[in-house]
Amino acid sequence: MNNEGRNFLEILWEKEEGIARFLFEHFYDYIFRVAFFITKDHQLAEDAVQETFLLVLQKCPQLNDEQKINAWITKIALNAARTQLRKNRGFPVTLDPDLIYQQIEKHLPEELVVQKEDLLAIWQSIENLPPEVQRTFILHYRYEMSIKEISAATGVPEGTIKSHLSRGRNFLRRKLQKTSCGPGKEPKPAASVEEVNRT
Amino acid sequence: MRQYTEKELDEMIKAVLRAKLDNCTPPPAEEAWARLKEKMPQISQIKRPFRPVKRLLPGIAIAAIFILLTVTIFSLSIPKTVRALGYKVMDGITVLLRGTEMNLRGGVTSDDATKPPPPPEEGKEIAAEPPAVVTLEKAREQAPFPLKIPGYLPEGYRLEKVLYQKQSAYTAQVEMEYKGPGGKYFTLTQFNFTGELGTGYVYDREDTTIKDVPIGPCRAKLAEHKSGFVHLMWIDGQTGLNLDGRLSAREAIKIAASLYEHWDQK
Repeated sequence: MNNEGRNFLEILWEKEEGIARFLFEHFYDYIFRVAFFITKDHQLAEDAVQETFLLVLQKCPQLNDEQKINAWITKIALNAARTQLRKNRGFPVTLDPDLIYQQIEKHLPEELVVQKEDLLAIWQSIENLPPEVQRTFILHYRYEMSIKEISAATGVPEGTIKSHLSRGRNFLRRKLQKTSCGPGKEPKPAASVEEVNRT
Repeated sequence: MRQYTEKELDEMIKAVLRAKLDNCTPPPAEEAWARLKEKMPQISQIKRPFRPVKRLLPGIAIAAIFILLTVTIFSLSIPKTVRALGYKVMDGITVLLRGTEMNLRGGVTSDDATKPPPPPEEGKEIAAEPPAVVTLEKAREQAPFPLKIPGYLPEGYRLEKVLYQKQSAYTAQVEMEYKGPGGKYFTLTQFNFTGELGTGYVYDREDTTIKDVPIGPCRAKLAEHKSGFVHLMWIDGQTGLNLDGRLSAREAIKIAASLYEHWDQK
């Protein structure tokens, strides 16, 4: 998503022809991945991509701040994916934990030694975060945006962004503690979204 | 539990999110673009509200007549007895995604226009509640569908955990996790749905085989991964069932079949 120093919206509306194509090529890969993150289904993710672009192209002229486009598109993509999931309730796919671990391990720094079950707990729990926290997490951790950048992009105050990150981390920490209960120990009830919001 | 520093936790979250977002291959952009282009008139209206619509009017009229004729002929040619069945389970359709990656599509579709509409779920978001650990009894009480319990378990297996998740005002999902000896395990997931259902299962044909197997009165799809991971999925009325884990296909089928033996005895 590199704008190469040019104003994105300027490029976008520079000429009428090719506007949609430019936008599509620029964000297609990203939107698909965000949609797949929610739906876990290629077909549903593809449908969500279509829905997202239709909405993005309809609403784009109303967007007057280039900085906000990433966050704005992320939000639309997350909503479109959730809508697809609601319309097409699929089989819950349980992935092989070994395969999941292999996928995550590739992205860990070599010097960091972590327990497999802790990574799997984060893998599972991250999807139970409230949507706004998920969006903050994606922008911060995956796209390495600073708190200030996220705030500018989403229009959410910096304090709230910090709070999203802190609450999300606390939620995951609690999940990790529960993982350590292990078999035979009494599992505590799962933390709810409300709990995340309250913390 | 190992105590992780903030930095370590951050690295773990980053790695998980990278794995989740990066380890999927989007289909070729050209195909997706072609699909989007079909919907382009809708987009063009934003900037050119009248011209395209006017230009497309004859085409739209012809298409409308064609669709009307097709629907009429199709509805007259289908016997009433078939339509009276209401919802029907669609056979799995295998779609090549790219390379050796396949998508097994299936689901439930309505073929009866006179059937009362499902509860009005439209517009409601999926409850964001995470699954809660509950007892089996509580799951049975709360589930808005008859929860099936295996009548057979291979030796050494025991129920480890039951997770209940309310998905909407009318639907829920129950996951029952079983642990067996030697690192074997399986999860039985049951969920209900209202109206129609679309399902998808992505696999690689180089390391996964798909078979049809009968489970009670239903026809299930069995996916066997060469690593020993099996995935059995089927639809029973307005309920979807899913049994997967690290166990033999024979055991998985036997456990799934026992859901119906047990059910019949009740």
